[in-house]
Amino acid sequence: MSEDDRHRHVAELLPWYVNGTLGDRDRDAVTAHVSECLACREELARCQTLAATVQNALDTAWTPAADRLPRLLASVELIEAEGARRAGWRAQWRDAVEWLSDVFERTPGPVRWGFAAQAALLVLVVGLAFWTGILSPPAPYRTLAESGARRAGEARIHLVFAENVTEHDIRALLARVQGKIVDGPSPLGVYTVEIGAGAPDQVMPMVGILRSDPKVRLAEPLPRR
Amino acid sequence: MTVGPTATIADDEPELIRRVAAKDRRAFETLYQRYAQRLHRYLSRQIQSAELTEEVLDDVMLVIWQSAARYNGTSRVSTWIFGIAHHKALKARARQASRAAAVPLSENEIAGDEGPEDITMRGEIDRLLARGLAALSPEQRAVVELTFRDGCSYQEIAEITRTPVNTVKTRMFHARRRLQPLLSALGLARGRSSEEKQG
Repeated sequence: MSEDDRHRHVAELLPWYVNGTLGDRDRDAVTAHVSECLACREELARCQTLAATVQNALDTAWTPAADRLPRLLASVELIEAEGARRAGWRAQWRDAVEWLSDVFERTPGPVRWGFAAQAALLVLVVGLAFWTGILSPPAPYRTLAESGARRAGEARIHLVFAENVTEHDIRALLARVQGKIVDGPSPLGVYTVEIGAGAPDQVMPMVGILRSDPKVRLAEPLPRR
Repeated sequence: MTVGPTATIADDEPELIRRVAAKDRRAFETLYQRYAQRLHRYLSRQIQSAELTEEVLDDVMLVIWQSAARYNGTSRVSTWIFGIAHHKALKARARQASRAAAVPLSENEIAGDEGPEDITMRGEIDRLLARGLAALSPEQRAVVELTFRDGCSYQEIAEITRTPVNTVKTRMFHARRRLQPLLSALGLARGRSSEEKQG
């Protein structure tokens, strides 16, 4: 390595010489070079100034809000609930495939292929039926008493209540947002609630009401359909 | 080496991550309490939007929860976590509608209206530093912060930022050149300050 290359190499390493993270070989090379190179000694001093200034700079004190960790943990519960639901579907699918392959292997050759042909035909028929259904979708069936599957302006949210909440508390909370439980609780305590927000921009204020209540661990709006 | 100059060597962290991978909520809480402030400080320097910083911090913690099983122990836990944070900060910056272009500041801009003789207060130095760091590109700022604030080696920074080691060194080199006016101002300020103490 030429003298210029060594000089450049050492100059690049100076910041990590200052923070003490260089390996033995690099550190020894820097120590040796700096002892005989005035330019690198000056550069080292500048790096030490920069390091001290950055380390001693006052940070704007930030501490997580009291509800930050509980909300994060509630999000974790939602993730786990979703994961459990998907895992359930996967397990059912895996069992079905295993059962079918087992049946397939235990069936004598000619009959096996007969079954396979019938299954293929069935898939084709179902596919065609589905295809024609897409081309001309039937009008949705509604009873006379039904006012509509989902009223305009209604929004759905996921709710997780605090552990010590009572049934009376839940009813009072739901009344505040004109909400009704439409699904849940999941194994992890997640409810799906329909709230009576008159307009899309009223959803978040209602969610805000729920989030500000200590009896609610999580309130997250679901995307509108 | 654990990221963070004041951090003690956290020998229990691989075990903590193993427990998080096993869906231990208590371990996750411990990890949050240990890292939230450090991650927030790092992210806030990268993103520079208080609201978005907190969102990204939550994202980072959720990624840790979901992918703790993928931690393979070849690097420090802190390096792995800061790598996730860096990646998330990059994506957040890309999402930000308006991003201030990183324009190098002249010596006058960095020093403001004051002469070096006025720069003796701690707050003044901090203000100068903030302006100096703001003049760097986010990538250069990350290298400076991770080196001097979080005490990372250049190999760890390469791993966190997923860039070659030579790129890390080059970014630091250019950052130092950009911060030259700041260093000159600080050097003069410190020189004057020590002269005053001696006098």
